[in-house]
Amino acid sequence: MSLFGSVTSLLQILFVLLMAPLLNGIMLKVKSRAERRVGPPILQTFYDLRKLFKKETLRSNNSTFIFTLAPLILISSTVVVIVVSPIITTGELFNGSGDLFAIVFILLIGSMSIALLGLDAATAFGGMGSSRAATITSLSEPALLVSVIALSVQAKSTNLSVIVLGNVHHVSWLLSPSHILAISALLIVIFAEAGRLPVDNPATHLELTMIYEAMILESSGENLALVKLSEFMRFTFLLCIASNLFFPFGIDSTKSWIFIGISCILLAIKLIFIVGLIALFETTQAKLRLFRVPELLAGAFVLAILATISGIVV
Amino acid sequence: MLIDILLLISLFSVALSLLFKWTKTIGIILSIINIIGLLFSIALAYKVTHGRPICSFDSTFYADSLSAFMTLVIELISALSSVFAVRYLVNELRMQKDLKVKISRYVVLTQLFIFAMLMAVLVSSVALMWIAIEATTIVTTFLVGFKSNRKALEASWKYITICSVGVGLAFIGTIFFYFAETHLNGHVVAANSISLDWVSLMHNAKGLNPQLIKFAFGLIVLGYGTKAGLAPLHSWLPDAHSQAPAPISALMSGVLISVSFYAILRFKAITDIALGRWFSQDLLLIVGLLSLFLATSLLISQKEVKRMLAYHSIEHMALIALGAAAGTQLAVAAVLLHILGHGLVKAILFLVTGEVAITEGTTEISKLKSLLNLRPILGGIFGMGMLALLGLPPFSLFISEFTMMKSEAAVGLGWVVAITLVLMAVIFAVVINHSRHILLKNNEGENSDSQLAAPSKRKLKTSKITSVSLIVGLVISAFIGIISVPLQGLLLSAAKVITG
Amino acid sequence: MQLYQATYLSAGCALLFSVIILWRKEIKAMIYSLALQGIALSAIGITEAINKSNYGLGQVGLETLILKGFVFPFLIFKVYKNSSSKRDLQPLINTTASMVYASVFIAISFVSVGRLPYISGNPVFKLAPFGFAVLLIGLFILITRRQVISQMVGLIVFENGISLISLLVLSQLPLLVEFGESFDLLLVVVVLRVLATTIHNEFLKGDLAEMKGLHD
Repeated sequence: MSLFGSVTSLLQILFVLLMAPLLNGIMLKVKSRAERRVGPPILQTFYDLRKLFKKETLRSNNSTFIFTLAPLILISSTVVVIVVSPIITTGELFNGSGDLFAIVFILLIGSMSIALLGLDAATAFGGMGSSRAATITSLSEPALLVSVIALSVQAKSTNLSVIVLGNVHHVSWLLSPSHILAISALLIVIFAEAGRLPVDNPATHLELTMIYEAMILESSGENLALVKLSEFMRFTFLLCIASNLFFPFGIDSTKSWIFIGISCILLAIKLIFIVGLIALFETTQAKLRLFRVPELLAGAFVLAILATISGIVV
Repeated sequence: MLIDILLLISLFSVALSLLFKWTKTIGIILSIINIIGLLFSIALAYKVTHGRPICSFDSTFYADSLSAFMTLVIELISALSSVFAVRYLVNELRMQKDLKVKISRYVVLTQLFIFAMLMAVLVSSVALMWIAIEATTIVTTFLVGFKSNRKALEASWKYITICSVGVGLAFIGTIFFYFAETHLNGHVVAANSISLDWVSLMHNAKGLNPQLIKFAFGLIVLGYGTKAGLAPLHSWLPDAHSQAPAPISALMSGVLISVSFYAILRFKAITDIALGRWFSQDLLLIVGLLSLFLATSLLISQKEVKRMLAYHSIEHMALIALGAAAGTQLAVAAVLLHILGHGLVKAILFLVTGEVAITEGTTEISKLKSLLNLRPILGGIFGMGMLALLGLPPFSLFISEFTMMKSEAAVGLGWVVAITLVLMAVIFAVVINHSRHILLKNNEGENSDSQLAAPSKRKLKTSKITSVSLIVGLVISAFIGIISVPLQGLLLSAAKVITG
Repeated sequence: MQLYQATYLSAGCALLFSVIILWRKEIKAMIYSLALQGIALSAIGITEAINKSNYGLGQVGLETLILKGFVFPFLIFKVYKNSSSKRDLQPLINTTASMVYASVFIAISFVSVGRLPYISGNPVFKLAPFGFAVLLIGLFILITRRQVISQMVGLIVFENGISLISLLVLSQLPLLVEFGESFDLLLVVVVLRVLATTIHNEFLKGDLAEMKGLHD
């Protein structure tokens, strides 16, 4: 691997690592403002994480090695997908390894580890959360895979870099029905995977409804910090991919350092914009009842199928 | 010229009913106009049988012997039903005084309904025919819901939704016929140089792409089949026909369903040239047998006369579809004769039932008893009508059913004939049983007090004009059955339009 | 070439809106999606008119815009205002299964219509399966919903599918036919509206499940 590749990969990790808590802070701020509250400072998430890292990790007597291992698997799977995907550049990252299927399944490893984490402490809530999360994942996974297929139809490749590059070069692809449908399916799946409204509300600990929070109820200290951080990173990563697929302009494809800088800044602006929109959207949304979630995901699945078929036909 | 006169007469009666509030006089005038229309349609039929097809209005309208035959059927049954409508509406007015506006609307819609059916068989363009058939759905919806009680509302809702869907499918079929015509012989033809009329479609039929025609004809059979009461989208028919006022039921069951089948026949002619006979044969066999099964199985459990008659209509449309599947000239001639005979007899039966409803106050089979004893004329017409409907000689239905089955057997569809006969035997037993109950069952038994409960209704006399017109109808049917000479030329030449 | 993109996009949107109508339970959302679908249809008419510089097709597009974009949704909205129910909560088949059915319908229409000769080769004709899918979904809504308004919406989605097919496949029907068809359709919707209002007065909430007077 060339120097360029290694440096850009590191840059990507750094970028996501920094953006993730920041974006979360921005979302909280926008939400509070939309609700006419002052809200926490934008950097609050950084403070929270720092505090968590300093705190002692408490362990339940019933927990096993999974309890320590799961957060590590989660964060490392997240880092791996960040390294191989085109976030700020489509240049030679781990060339050819940025395959969409691979990315989806690596992300899935993370989801699985966190579900195990929920089960590990053998509390009622953890198990409940894991079972719910598994249900949702099992429904969102087909939709995700099919929309990946849809995206790969036009570019005739499942390599994410090739797809993004194709979108940069063929503006008309962006407005093709297939692309739009696939993106809408992908957005729904992203919301579900990231545990955002309307699938899950990250701000509550209501036992009847919580999904994600239930799984990490037993974690504390460093463990919790790792889980939270990787959760933010995963969300940011998904948003980066979505924005690169939907509106790739500004992403570096020339391998020059100046362009990478510009691309970083542009991507940051895009992300902040998207996050603001999501925050506004979430203030207007109520959480779906759990049994309505399959409907949403089934909808995403249909959209993805639509996208694939219209991609093949048109 | 004759076409214009026919349409103008129909339009005139629409205008008349629009301009004047309905009174008995207007009703009688309208029925006289309808009878005049019948005379003109006979003239049209005569002229077309002995000459070439005629066009008018820059060949927007076109009448060959098939359209002339359908016109004849339409005019015959509308004349019959308009005579009875006077009686029916007078009675409705007597029951409820505040119905005036509603009745005027009813009459306008009925005349529009007849006009739309005439348009459907007389226009030359496939698409205009589609518009006319869709228009019949629209105008009859309110007629079905005329009684505006819950059941009537339910029936009209089902009617308009299911029929709109069916006719919509038929429209796609039409579009694909048109599409096939723009790719004649594999060459793209400019769309505006194509006319969508029967003559040019028949002329170009050889060059139409077979695969497109398969798809299109499938949709046509499904779509117009819905309107014709054929399975699988037949479920509106028993509801609509049983809830509509008797004169409307007569029109709908007698002609409307045949008009939709006329559309199928026309498209079948084109399809047969494009694909050969087997495709339309298979399709019509499937649809026909399915409808026959459904009609038979549902007919058994009917408790109400009008509903029973409605299922009977499905059965007869199924027989017609099977006959059309055979597809020889003789078979198609028999199909047309069956359309006429069934239309006539079914209209008569619905009208008689309407009369029974007026005089007896019910149409439920279990409540009707010894009709023959109480009202000999009405009971007699009902009984004869039932016998005619079951296909007994001397009525024309016997001849047509016999001929259809003979031609089916002749083209190697003996197994279809066997199935048909078995199912018809079942229907025969059921209907005979019901009719026996209605006509002959002794009154004196345990239910004698139910008669006393409704003495006022018993006073109503059977209307003379109605009886006479219905008897005339029956006699016509029998007459056609015994000597079909006057119709033979027309039938055979109409069948030739289909079989080529 | 860019204008084909616009046609593709509008066809995709038309199909998307029918899926959304199937998906949503709020009747208001269904009506809005219906209006948007009508607008997508008219967009196809207009872009095709520009593509082929066909004046008549532009007229059809405008007429579609007025009828399907505004008049039909407005008429349904009137029924909606008249009724007491805001949601269609209990379709005969639940939404998740409906979605799966929808994808099956889409697949069916691409396998059946998409394989017809002359359809697959042409840049515009090959969109015809979209129309067929819209039609099937509309039919599905009509069959599985139990409320009067949703059934009306289903029927109009069905009709939108028809006009999508005819817009794509035929560059132009004779104008007489085109307007006759639209006029018929308008009358159907008006009749449905009148009936729906009567049904709402007669039955509780316009729930057709209560209609059990006639069945075998």
